[in-house]
Amino acid sequence: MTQGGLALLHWLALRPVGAAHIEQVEPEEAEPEHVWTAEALHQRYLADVYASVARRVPNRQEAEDITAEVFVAAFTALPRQKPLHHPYPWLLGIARRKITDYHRRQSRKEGRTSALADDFPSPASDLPEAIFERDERLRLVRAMLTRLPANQREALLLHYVEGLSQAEVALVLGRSPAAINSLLQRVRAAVYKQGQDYSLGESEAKK
Amino acid sequence: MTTEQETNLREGLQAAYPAAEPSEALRVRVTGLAREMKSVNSATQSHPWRIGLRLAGIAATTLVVLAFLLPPKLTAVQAFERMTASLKDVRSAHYISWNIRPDGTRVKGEEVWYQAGNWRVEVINPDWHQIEVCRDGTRWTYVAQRESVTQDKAAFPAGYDSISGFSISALQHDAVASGNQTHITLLGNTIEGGRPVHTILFYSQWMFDKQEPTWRSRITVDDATNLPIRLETQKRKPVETRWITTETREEDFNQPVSAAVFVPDFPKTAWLIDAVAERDYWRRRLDKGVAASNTVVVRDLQVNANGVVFLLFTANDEVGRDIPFGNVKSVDLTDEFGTRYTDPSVQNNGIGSQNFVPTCMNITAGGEKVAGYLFGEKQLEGRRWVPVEKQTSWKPRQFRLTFHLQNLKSGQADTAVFDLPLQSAEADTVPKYMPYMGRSLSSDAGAEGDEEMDVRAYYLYHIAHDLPAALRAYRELLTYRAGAQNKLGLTYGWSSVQWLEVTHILIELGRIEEAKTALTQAKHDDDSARCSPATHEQIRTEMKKLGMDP
Repeated sequence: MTQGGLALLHWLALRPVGAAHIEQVEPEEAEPEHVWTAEALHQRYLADVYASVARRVPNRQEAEDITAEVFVAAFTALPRQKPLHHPYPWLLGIARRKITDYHRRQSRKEGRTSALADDFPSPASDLPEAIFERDERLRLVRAMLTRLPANQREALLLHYVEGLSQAEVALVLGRSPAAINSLLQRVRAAVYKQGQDYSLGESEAKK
Repeated sequence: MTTEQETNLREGLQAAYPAAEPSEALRVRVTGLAREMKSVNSATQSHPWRIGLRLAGIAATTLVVLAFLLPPKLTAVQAFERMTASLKDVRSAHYISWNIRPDGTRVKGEEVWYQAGNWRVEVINPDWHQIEVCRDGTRWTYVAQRESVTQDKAAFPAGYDSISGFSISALQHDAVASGNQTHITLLGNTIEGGRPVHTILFYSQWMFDKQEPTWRSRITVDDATNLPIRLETQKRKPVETRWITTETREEDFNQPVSAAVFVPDFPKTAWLIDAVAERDYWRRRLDKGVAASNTVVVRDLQVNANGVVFLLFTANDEVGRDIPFGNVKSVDLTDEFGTRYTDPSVQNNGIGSQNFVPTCMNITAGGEKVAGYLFGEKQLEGRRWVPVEKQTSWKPRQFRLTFHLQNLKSGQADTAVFDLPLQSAEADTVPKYMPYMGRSLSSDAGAEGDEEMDVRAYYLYHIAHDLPAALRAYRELLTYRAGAQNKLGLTYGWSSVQWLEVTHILIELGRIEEAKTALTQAKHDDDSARCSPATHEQIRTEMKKLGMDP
């Protein structure tokens, strides 16, 4: 097993999942509803939305174009939008459709299917060994996510990386909160399994 | 999974997908968009009349955009504000648009009447005669060529209430998204027909153009009412100083419109189509389907008189998942005669071709809704194939459809094959279900024919690489379009992409002088009706390569 494989298992620190664990769907935040202006919306959410788009679109210029499109659509809809206490899921929903459109255009142009961005710079670190191990681990994590079905991958990113509650993930993906709860359980199990498969695959290869 | 494991999972994923920082350029861009939107929203309080009026759409939108892209003179902004304020209060409107031929003669384009929520829109040209009447929530659409009247539930004429139509925000979005910058000039007062008027000029051009603007609108506004009385579209060739009016629209507001104008009085012989009942008929027919496997239901298969094949199916996909992002990766079509077919949506120029999406999310006022049919909450999907060789007379035949599937959940690959016979061409242009699809194809025979020619030419050049045949096909299309332009009295074309294709073919054939002529034509069309910045750049690049001055 390579260092990366070991690191992945170490990072996952997972053991087989036992009896089904039903998570409670988080209640929506009890913030007051708020009428957002275009200025306030982009000042608060531009960085978050761009980061989300950039995770899914490898080319920086294209990620910026899509982000701008998201805000154009949001600004256009804003006057007719009912007051929102937390517009982030709404913006990510728009972003999701824009990204789908982008991948569709790309696949038509180049005959290739969508992929998650895989050219993230690594965070700075002092020790070369630490850099190697961490980079290998991050590469494996990204490869693992790429292998997941699109809806599982999206749910995982929205919940764990973009910090949305299950109810908000449901809103973005157009599913019921219960379905998202079940989906996330499945994806956690899949992550565990894939973590094992990576390790097994590599150790088998060593034999 | 324990809390610790879940924390590890979260931290690991966040490390693998760190947050990229937006550039300063993006921040500036989005801040600018926010400013423009603020101005649009404040200038366009919801008003039913103004939502759809093309004058308000084209003139006011451009003015709003320019007002914030480049700070205009204060007087011009005041003129704009006065005009938009006056438009808010109009009780009725009537305008007629004319296309102006190079010899100065004019051809009527469109005539519109509005009064107290009622509309009438007439389009009368040599190829198309259509009248729409909207009253009390019902819309009647009469098409003379089809001798039909379609009755539907709608408060606005088609295209007057959609995000991609003529709403101010849509046009504002389009103007900014297409990278246009504009500026405004206010001319002094003059007398016209005995009444004092002032004139607003606004110019629009792609923001990276260094040449002088080649397009402008000239609005003549009545001093007394602050309402426009005429809007002229003017063009000029680069470097030239003379502006030529290509379109003019005469406008008249607050004059009583006879109630008879809004009476849906059409020839008694016209075939009445009840759109509500038709929509329901197609729902029932498609629900039944024509063939099914355990993964795919073929809902409908038709050909038109030119042998173009239209397929509708469901494959257990949610809305928004279409080929190649749903369960179906691709669909192949063959027939017993070995006919070669090409699918425009998978050609590189599919982006520019008519977009056939049977079910889609439709962004409308107040949120989103699904447009088109759903069966068991799963979307209807569609494909269209154009025969590469023109079909002169269509014969009954057996089709084979091969669906290549990959289950999104399990990842399992599968194929589904259907052998389906068709005895006759059911549609003249596009199937009769088309008006009820999410994003439909035009049933105008001209548009469908134009599309087929374009698809065929593209195939011959880029896929078959048959240069002489491709050249013939593009020339056939361009000749057809030139005829249509002439009939409509248009002084410009919209074929810069096709002229560029012809240029490339002629270069490959070594016919450089002819290529230069074609490229000049591409530039002419691009100057008049720019399709895309990318095409514009390609034309400039090719001109430099051929030693021409771009």
